[in-house]
Amino acid sequence: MRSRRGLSELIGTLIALPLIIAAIGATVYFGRGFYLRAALEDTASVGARWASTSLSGQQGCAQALEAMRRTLRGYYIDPAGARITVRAEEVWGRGLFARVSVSYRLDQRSVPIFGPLLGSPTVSVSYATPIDQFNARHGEEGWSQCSG
Amino acid sequence: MVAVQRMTDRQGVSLLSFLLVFSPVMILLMSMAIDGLSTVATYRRALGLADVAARAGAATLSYRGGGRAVDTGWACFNAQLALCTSANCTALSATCTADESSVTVSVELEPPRMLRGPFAVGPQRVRATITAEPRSGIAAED
Repeated sequence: MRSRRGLSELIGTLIALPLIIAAIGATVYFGRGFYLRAALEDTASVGARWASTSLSGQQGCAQALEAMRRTLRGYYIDPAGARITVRAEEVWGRGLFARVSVSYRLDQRSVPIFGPLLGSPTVSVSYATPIDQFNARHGEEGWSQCSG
Repeated sequence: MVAVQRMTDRQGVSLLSFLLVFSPVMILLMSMAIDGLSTVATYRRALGLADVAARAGAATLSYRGGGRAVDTGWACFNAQLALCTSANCTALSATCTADESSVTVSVELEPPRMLRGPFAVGPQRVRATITAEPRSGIAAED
């Protein structure tokens, strides 16, 4: 009788365990995803701010890149794994728009159940910020683009 | 033999009731955690959009303010332009107010949710408001 009871508990544990692992897996999978999303939103927003707060067209992009790398480090995300671009878009009559984009491929393979099931997503965020020709002197020297 | 059978049945019922109660509670807690994180990520997006738009509007104020009458409508137009260049305008609602010295943009977004109705965690929509002022020292067209 004791062995039967033990067997029953074992079966119960075997049934409950995948459910518990699935719940933990879902929380970790989506939790990591949303954490990365929030971090990239912040990073791109910081980049947009720094890209447009330079009088020099050469410095704006470089300082945006540096600020974005620092922001990512603040979130404990390796900047080397992120794809950052700052490029110019002509959508405005009085200057240009700097399109700041950051994307990161989140390795989710190690997350139980959901990792192999849903794969490793690439999260991308972008902002476009105007660079006014009267507030920046990019018109004289050009506005450089960069990526990292 | 009958006693053993009873015991097994009891264990089965106990396991079933445990799973019936435990699984929804676990799924509910998991969904709440995910919804909370989703709300935070959406709020960050709203904050970033409001920031970009408000600064775009404020930059226009500084340009228009250089010896001319300040056109607050123009500032809000440029704030909206920045907003719509950064994001899909149909998926958000935004308001803009401008005066001679500042532009305030408020962006409202709906976070993606797993839970609806009475189980929903946090606000149904998140709102971020940013006020920007023209940068000092570059307040005139030159």
